[in-house]
Amino acid sequence: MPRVSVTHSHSASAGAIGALALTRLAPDHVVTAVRDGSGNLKVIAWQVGSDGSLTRKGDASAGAVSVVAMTDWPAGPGVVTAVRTASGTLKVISWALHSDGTVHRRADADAGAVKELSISSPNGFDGVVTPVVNGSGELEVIAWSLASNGTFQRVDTGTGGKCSQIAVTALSKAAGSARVAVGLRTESGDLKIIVWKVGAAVARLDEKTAGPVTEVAITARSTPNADVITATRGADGELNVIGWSVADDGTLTRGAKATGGAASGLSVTTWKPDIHTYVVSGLRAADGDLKLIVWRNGADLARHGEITGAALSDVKITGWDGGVITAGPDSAGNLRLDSWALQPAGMHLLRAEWPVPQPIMSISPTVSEELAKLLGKKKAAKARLAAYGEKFVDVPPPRIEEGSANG
Amino acid sequence: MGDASPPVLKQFKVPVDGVDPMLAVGHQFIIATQDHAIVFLDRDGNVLPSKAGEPQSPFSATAFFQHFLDEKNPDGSENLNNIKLYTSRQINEFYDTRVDYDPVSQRFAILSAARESGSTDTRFYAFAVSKTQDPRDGFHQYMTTETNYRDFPRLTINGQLLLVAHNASNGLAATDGDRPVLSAYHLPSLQQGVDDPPNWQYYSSDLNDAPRVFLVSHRGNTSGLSFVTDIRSDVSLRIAAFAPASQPYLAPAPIFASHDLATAAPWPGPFMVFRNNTLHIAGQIQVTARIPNQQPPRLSIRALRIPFATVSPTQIAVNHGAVEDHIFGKNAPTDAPGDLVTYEVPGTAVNKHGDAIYVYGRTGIVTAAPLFPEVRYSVWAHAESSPRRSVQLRAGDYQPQWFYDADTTDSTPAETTKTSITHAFLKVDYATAVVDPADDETFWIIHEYVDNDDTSHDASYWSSVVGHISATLP
Repeated sequence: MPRVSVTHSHSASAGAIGALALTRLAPDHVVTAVRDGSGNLKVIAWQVGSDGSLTRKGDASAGAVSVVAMTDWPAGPGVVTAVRTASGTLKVISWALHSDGTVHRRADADAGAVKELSISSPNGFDGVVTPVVNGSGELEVIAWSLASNGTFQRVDTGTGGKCSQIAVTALSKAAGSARVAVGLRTESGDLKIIVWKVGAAVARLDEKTAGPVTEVAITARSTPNADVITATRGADGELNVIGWSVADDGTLTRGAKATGGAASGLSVTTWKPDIHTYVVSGLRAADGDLKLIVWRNGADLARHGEITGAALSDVKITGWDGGVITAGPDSAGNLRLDSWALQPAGMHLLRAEWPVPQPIMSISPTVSEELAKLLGKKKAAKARLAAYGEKFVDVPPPRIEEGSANG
Repeated sequence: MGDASPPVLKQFKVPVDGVDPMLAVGHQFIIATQDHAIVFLDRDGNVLPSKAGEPQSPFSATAFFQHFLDEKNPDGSENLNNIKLYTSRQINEFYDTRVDYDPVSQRFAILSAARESGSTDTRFYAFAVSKTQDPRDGFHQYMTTETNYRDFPRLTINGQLLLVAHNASNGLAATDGDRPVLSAYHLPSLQQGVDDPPNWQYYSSDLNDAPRVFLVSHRGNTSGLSFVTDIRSDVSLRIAAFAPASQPYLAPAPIFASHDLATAAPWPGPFMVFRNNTLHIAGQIQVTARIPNQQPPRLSIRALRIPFATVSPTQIAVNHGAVEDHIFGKNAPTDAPGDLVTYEVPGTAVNKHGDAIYVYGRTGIVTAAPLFPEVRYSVWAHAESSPRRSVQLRAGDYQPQWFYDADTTDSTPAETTKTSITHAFLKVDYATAVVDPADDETFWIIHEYVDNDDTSHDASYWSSVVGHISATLP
């Protein structure tokens, strides 16, 4: 199968963390938002070098939190965090990243009680969307406009049924509307994908369900038809990856499925080095180690590569130009970041020579005569290539055999 | 048609039989192939003698790629390049062989499909690049390890890319899935014989859901682009082009153009030609349908010159108003009035002047005098409005007869009376025409005819003739 080589580039670390979120802020930064050792929110900016090196830049802190999600804010530029506060309510906070790498809090807004939360900033909407599981255990999809100074205004809210394990991804803009896809675990334990149109109103476009899940991660590729990829942990503890195509009107169609063995702490992103998009899943394998698996995001979701890293208790993943970056709590509970270089390696090809080179078994008086002949032939080949203005490539001598008839 | 086409400079019979004659002409040597066979020739048509103990051609494609089937290396160690390590199928046959010569790198390239004889579910392909311009100096060989390939492979070299395309299993991307339709290999790496040479693939979805693409032979300035075409059963000729990406393992973003052909596009031979900002295509079209138990269908040749208004690394656009579209299949000057003749399986090439040659097979359907399956060619000069009168390269010696469709899976009811066999009936996939790399103006052509050397007059195996054709217009 076509392959993607995956190699470890660089690592970085920080102090003890609890909850964790990770996002890319193009072109050359990633940002971590963590519940630090004191239980407070800390936002840390990291610069990513062209070789994948990770340099810690500025950070900023906020109050106590128990759950953290984050998305990029390209217009800031900066990020927006969504957190569950100490009082159990939703708070969104905008953060600006200055050119010197320092992080500055801009503004915030509050909503009601939440149990879980996620956040996205879809193209075509000047704001963020926070799908949350509210205090009643039901889905709310809240759209917030975001002004250039970082202030929020709640725009509209869409609602769904009881759920858990929510995750969100931005989709490409279609028919003039921004869109997001929310993946969740239904009350009955099944995977459900819901596509929402986001603007002055939040409207449900389509939904589809699949089998039982215990964890949900979701991503998409920014193609016109915005394929969605879900990475879920099934009831059997195994990783399942499913591709979904999304029509302009939001209609979902299930595509290929791939599996990845026992997994937890799922995270998934896409990587696009050329015209092809790859799905990269970060997960905690059965032995506790980080595992990255790369699939081609096509109808086949063929596995293209994988690599194992250090033990992490949870995994978050995002992209950089040369590959992906993972973050998670290491075995000591401290934040660990790793950059991974990905490179398409194409199709594996077998290799042969015609004529098939023959071994020279030993040197004996009779063989040495043959060897002398062969060496003479090499000289002749060298001269022949020189006549073409080309360099001689030294290969073993050819086997002498009779040709066969036409097959 | 107007004046006569240029004369034959040289012709010779090729000592390999089959149904897919192909020809690659180098500066000093020639390789001719059939579906299963390969022969190395000098430019006078003589089989090259063994040079340094290498196997003497002709030989089968299976013999040529044999080492991919060997379980052991010559030293007794396990052959890790054995395709059987990658499939449960007992791959034992290399077929659908193609050949090309790149005048820039001065290398031959040979391609064959691979399968377990009789099976259809698992297929690979292998290709080889010559180490020098003399094929007897050896080849670096490669073989795919994934069975995404279906049928009818095609091969061409352009710049630093060796391109391979092939058909899909059923020709429908929607039902066949998003499968690779084009593979690009880094020619400099192939020339060096490196392991795991950089390569990338276009999938159907990368090319607007193309079920397959056809390759183009590029000559002259192409603005760094490689062209492919997407021909379906509708009237649109879809064209894609791409410039190499920054790294040889990255798939570049293609750019697109199209042209409305008014009627369904002709099925092309192994190559179309892009030269002087014009895409040249030749294919056969049906004129009258087969009459079961009486006569085969009658076909004509459709030749297209499709000039581009824009060719740049970021945009291509067809000059629709300047497209020239010519169908020929009327009788040659030697035919009697009222003769009905089928013109089939053309190959085309274009020289530095922009003159195109079409080599094709011709068989009488209803004729006053017998017209056995023969080989002819016509030249369409760049400044003229239609192809010139044809010249016969080799006459046919007899008319083989067989059931056009003897199987009710192909014809209902099955035929009970044998009718005349024509080139298309023989299931010749194509003929080949190329420009001589030494002068870039004379042509070399190869096609099939029936001759009495096959005393059995077997219906299945014809002979192939090569012609070297002058570029001087009479």
